[in-house]
Amino acid sequence: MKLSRPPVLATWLFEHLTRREHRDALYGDLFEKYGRRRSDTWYWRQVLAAIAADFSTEFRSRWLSVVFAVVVCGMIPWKPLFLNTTFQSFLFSGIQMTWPVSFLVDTAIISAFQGAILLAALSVFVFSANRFQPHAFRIAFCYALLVLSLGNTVVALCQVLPWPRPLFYYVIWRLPLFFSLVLSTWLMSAIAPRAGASRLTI
Amino acid sequence: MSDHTYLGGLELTVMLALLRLGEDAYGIPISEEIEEQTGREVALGSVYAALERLQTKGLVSSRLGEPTAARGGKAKKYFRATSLGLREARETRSALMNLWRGVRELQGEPT
Repeated sequence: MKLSRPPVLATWLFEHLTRREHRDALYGDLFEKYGRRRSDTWYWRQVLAAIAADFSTEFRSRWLSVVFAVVVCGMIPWKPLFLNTTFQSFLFSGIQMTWPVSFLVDTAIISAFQGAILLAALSVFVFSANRFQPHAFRIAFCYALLVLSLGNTVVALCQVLPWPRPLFYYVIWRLPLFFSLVLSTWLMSAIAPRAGASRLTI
Repeated sequence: MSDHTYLGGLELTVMLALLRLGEDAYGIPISEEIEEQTGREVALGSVYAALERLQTKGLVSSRLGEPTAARGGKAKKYFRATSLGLREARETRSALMNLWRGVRELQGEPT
């Protein structure tokens, strides 16, 4: 029997990118079969296939998150909210600062504004689905806020590129909120059962 | 119209391999049985994804074995078809046979 371990990076990806339901049993199978003189290429192929299969299963079971995010991002009247005088005065105070402080402050203001929408939308989602768990809600919201802030920073940097204006304002501008909503609603149902999941030792 | 869903594609393949193997069916023998009988290699991850769907539908049940060093300290997960799973397999076979019958091209008869 082969004594060498399977590729560490592949095992790490397997551990972090697959769902817990059959993870231990599947890892045991992969380890056992790899021990029968299987190649590293075989192991990598199996790991990538397992990740792809789990993503597909996850997407099929979480389609509601995607639909919810599309509806929220499509329904929000961005223009009147964005052109609101209070919001504009906040942005203007940021612009008056020196670069890059002005860039960071305005990105933070926009993220805080969208963060409030995210909080409201996430609250509606969890209460209507009757899935409220304070711990899961906090974690989901924090991760989503991080994604939202990073996304808004990227979008703000992308403003210098020659995008068609409708594409930028109707699609790209809404992407950070879309992804953070999908992530937060998905995490809400995924975190709680994962809390007790065992980790693989490699 | 009946209220059940017929087994499709990989789920049916995995269920049949499971039934052929009997009690000692876990990931590796199932994937090897499929490969042996169909000549098609199926990734273990896909086999487990199909088993998970079957288990969610109540068509298979599972139990854990003992962890072994040869498996990196992980236990085997043995699967077996439930009575509902057997019924679904029969219903699917019946539906497919009905569709199969009368298709002259697939019976090797001249068109």
